[in-house]
Amino acid sequence: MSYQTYPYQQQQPGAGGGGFYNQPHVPPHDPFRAYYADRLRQLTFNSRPIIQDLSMMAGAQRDQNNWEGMNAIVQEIEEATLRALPTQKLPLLYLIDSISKNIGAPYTTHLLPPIIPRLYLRTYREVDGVTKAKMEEMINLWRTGGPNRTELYGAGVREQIERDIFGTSHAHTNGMNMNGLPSLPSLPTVQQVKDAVQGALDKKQREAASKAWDMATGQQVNALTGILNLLNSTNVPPQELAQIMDQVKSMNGQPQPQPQPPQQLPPQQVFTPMNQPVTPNWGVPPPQQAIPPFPPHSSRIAPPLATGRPPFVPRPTPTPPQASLNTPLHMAGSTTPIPMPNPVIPPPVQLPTMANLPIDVSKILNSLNQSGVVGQSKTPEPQAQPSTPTLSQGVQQQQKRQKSSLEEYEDMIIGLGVSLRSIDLNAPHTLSLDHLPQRCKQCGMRFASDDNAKFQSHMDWHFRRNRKERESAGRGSHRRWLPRAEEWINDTYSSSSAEAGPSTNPILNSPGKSASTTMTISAERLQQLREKWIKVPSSTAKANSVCPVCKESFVKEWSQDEEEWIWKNALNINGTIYHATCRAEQLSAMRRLKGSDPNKRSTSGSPRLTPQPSEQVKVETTNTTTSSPQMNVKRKAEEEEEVGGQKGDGEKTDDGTGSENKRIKVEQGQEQMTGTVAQPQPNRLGDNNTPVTVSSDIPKVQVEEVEVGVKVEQGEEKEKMDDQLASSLENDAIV
Amino acid sequence: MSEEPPAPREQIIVDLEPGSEWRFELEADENIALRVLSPDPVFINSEELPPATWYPIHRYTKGALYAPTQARVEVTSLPASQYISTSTIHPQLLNVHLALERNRILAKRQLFSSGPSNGVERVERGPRVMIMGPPSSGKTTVVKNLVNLALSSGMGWTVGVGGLDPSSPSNLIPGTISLSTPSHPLPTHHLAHPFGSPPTSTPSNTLSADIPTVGWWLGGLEPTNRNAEVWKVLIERMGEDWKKRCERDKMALASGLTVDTSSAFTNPLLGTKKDDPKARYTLVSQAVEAFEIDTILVIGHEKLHIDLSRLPTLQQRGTNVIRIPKSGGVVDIDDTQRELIHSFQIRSYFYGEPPLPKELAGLLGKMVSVDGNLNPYSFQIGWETLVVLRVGEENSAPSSALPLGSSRILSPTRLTRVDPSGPAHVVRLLNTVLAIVDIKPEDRIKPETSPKVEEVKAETGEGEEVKEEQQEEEEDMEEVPFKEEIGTREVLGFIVITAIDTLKKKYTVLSPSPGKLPSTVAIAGSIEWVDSA
Repeated sequence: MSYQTYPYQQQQPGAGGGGFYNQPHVPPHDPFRAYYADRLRQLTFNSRPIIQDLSMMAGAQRDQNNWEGMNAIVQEIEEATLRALPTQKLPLLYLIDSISKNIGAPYTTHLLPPIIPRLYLRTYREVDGVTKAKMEEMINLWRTGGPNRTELYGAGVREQIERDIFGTSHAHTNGMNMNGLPSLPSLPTVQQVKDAVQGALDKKQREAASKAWDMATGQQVNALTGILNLLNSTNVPPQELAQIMDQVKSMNGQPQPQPQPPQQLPPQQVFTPMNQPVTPNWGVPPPQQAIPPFPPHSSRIAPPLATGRPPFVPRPTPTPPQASLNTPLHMAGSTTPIPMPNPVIPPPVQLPTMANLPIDVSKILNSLNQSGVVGQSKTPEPQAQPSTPTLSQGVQQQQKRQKSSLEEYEDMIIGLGVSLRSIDLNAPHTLSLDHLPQRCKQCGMRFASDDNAKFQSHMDWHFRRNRKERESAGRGSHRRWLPRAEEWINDTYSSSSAEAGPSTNPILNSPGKSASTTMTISAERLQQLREKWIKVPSSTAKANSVCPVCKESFVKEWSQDEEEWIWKNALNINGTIYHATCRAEQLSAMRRLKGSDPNKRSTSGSPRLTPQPSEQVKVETTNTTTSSPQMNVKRKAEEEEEVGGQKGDGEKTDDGTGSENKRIKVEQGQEQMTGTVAQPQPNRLGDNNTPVTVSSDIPKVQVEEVEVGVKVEQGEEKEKMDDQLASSLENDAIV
Repeated sequence: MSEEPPAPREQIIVDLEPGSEWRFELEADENIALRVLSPDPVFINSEELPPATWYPIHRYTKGALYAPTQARVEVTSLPASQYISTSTIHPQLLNVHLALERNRILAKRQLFSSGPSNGVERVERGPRVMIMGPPSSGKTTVVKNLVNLALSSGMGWTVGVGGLDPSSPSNLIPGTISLSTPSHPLPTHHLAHPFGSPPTSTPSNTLSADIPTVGWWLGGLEPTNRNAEVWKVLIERMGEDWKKRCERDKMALASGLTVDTSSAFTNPLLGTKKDDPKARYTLVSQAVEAFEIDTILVIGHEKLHIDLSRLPTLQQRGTNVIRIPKSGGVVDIDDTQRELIHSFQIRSYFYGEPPLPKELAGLLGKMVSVDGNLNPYSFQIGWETLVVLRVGEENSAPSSALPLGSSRILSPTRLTRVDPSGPAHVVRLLNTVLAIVDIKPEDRIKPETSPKVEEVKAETGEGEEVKEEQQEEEEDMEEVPFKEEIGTREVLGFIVITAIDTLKKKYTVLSPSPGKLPSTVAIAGSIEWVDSA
């Protein structure tokens, strides 16, 4: 069956491949690379922890000065992005964004700039309108994303992209206005600014209407309304006008449009109607608001607070702190950058003039900025996360030495002078934990009050463990083989950052760990799915219904919160009730069968000790395809098994014995011993115990596909939103 | 799942006076959970209990809560055997800890700052402590307390734990000795793995799991005069690895090492050989030397304390011998209980920590999660494929069977291949726990190359005894194609032979991990296990 889908899958990379990605695909022979690629495959939704994790790995490679590793990371990300479904590209871009902002140097200077323009542009052309808007938001932040608010990737990169995206779409719609807005020297007129603001406002309003849940857009609308009112009611000096213009544009993700011909428009570029709301129309005069003509700008400074302040202060935006009020006006014009109340601000060049502005204007600009910030905070990457676990031991020690309370503790202990040579066992000492007031809520471990980095990494460690545990839920874990002595001796990573725990070492543990993290559906998602519930239907017929996928009945459970009998792990899709997990498995299986999900290739569901890259390579070279049918069959069967194990939810032992029985027949060949001896490297095993009992399940899934194929899409969309919500909640929880 | 929420239970409260201990001994049908209701810390084996969270303790566990200040603890059910005592050794342990902590801090300052520490004596490395005592004197508990005190000081120590007691293995299964480097305080939930378990494929959420551990296989429950030579080689290797680790890991060097020992160490004649009949505490001296132990804590045993203080080898090294009191709460463990513990430890290695007992699963409120249901894998492997070896001279023919007057000098760590076709062996191999050893290509002895050269290389310590090896090899039915060195190498894990098919010539083995074995060379010992649970 699945062979039919095979040619289609083969086409998949080619179809999107275009001329951009000509580099030979390096098979992931190196375990780190394979591991990283595996992890990337899980990044199918906007998950902060995964992005954080992947960024940290990138950071670790940087710290080790491992160019090969860094190259591998960049290549894998690019491939993954090109490969991903249009709906799943954004997280990968966020990952790039996160790596660039958090790790910085070699990535932003050497590795990423060459690939970013083509990657960005190709992605931009494939995604839908909402994603486009987000991408615009992101690229706009690159303007100040680098250290000291410089360009994140150097000047050329962003410009090139912007020329391509905005330049083209603009030239079509209103080339006239373009010429009215030359790039730098002349200042815009009030009318131009107003038009721009109005245009932006219109756009944002439409955007806000289309996605009502987006708080940020609402705030931007408010801010823009405020500016418009201000422009209508006061005289604003030209520089400020220019600034407002800039701000509005940057909020829009609209840079100074330059009337340049589109660089290289691939023929497949099609702007669907979906895109329309995103493309702003600058020149169109505000339709509903008739604005009295204003005197052309006067050069005097706008009236200060009392008179000039309009009554509109945007509500949901937190009012910027008072610092801007205190900023002495005479400082204006000096080159000293004035500390701004808001940590994320426009480039420093603007700062002095900002202070010069009448209060209300700068306030508005600030609020604009902030709404931009709010919009950006949806970007999942951890801005302020220090990559503590990757810190080298020495650095950590240094940090520790600066911590005063621990130092005090050290001095106290030394001061006690209890010496082993002359110990009085009955001396009345008490154990003092005063230097460790912070307690971990999860395990009760204590931390020094001023040792936030350590506490933070401890919490991260918990989070990672919890996540891993969720990921592994239902699939059964096993005891790993012990390390060889040399491995243990060199495994100083885990002890040097004690809080990081052994499970965080991406390099050392990668061969063993990728097994557990390799999943068909991310276990985090499985967990979320399992949390879904519906009320037990009142009609008896329905209450006795079974999940159409696994044919199992649902487990009734009393919910304290709802005071209702509920079915956990259940979804009601157009009247049919499914197990949420079964449903998800089914969807992903279908997607794979259709060949539309090539990014999940070669993720075997079975926990392997050391996934042997060589084995995978072999499969790939014989097929030269992204997904081999045999693997699909094998994996699917394992999924079936997995679903079967999960439905009982808590009967893991059954699951375990089940798989045990399956494996009991497997036999080790004679040649294996010589194999082990010949390859002493960590290739401990090449998992050749293919489960034997599989193929009978395949037709079933196909039938199901026909049954529900139509309803899939809506349900999926909704699920994704739930996911995002859930993951953002989760993020809140750990901060 | 679909149970009604449990009816509100009557609260059982244990009030603890300042400086008192609540001791409990759980029977086979008793599983309890505790939670601390008072604000001040309460400790179990010096691990601070998490606030307002249920802390499950599984059956058979014997333990004690210690409250330095007034405390109130809620218990789900009162064990049949429980009492409060004000005689506690915690103040003494604390004093020991303070002394050790001071050394750690001084060592850390010495190692991590460029200049010498201001004025105080120079300490080049963290304290290396060995705890000795007779059986059932609470050695492991003392080690655990000291380790936990160090790990919860907030300094980020990574204290090395040396488990030299194969009968009460710290992280692995009976018959092993191990080195591990925990970084979190170790919990006390059940009998297995008092120092945490080695990593699993997925991290379990109890902090006891995932502890990097490296293990060696003695194959017996304690060092004896028969296996003393094997033991010595093992200890030597452990000591070397610890030294290498410390060279790379300054934090480990500053944190020091805490060594738990076998109660056999209290026997002065252990390891004494005929060629030096006056030697006493040979293995103790050897371990002290291998790990460069600077402090020995002797629990209770006055004579041992005196003996060790006067031991010339220790005096030369300047080893400090300190006697600490034996806890009044220590329970004597009889043989059946030991067997039960051993079986449980092996089971936990394969199947993970026991699941939460039913009576505790329904508790309201947060619970320290004890998970770790592991799935071992069972498969068949041919007799020819899996090479089962035994280490040591006792496995060869007795010297009384030799011609009169001829004496046979064998390497004490020689390898013998177990021939499963012999009926006696079949009986002996069934249910035997085997340790898997890593084999490198250079470990193979090719028949054509001169085995003599190989042997000399393999034998570092006992050079003079090697000479006749070649002759001996030729007599063997099954030649062992490996260097002797592998017999004392660190092990990769353990399997159990659960069935033997003599017709097909196959073993059925239980392996902790799926897939191929990392190596097909396994060493048998005297440890057996039948899964009775």
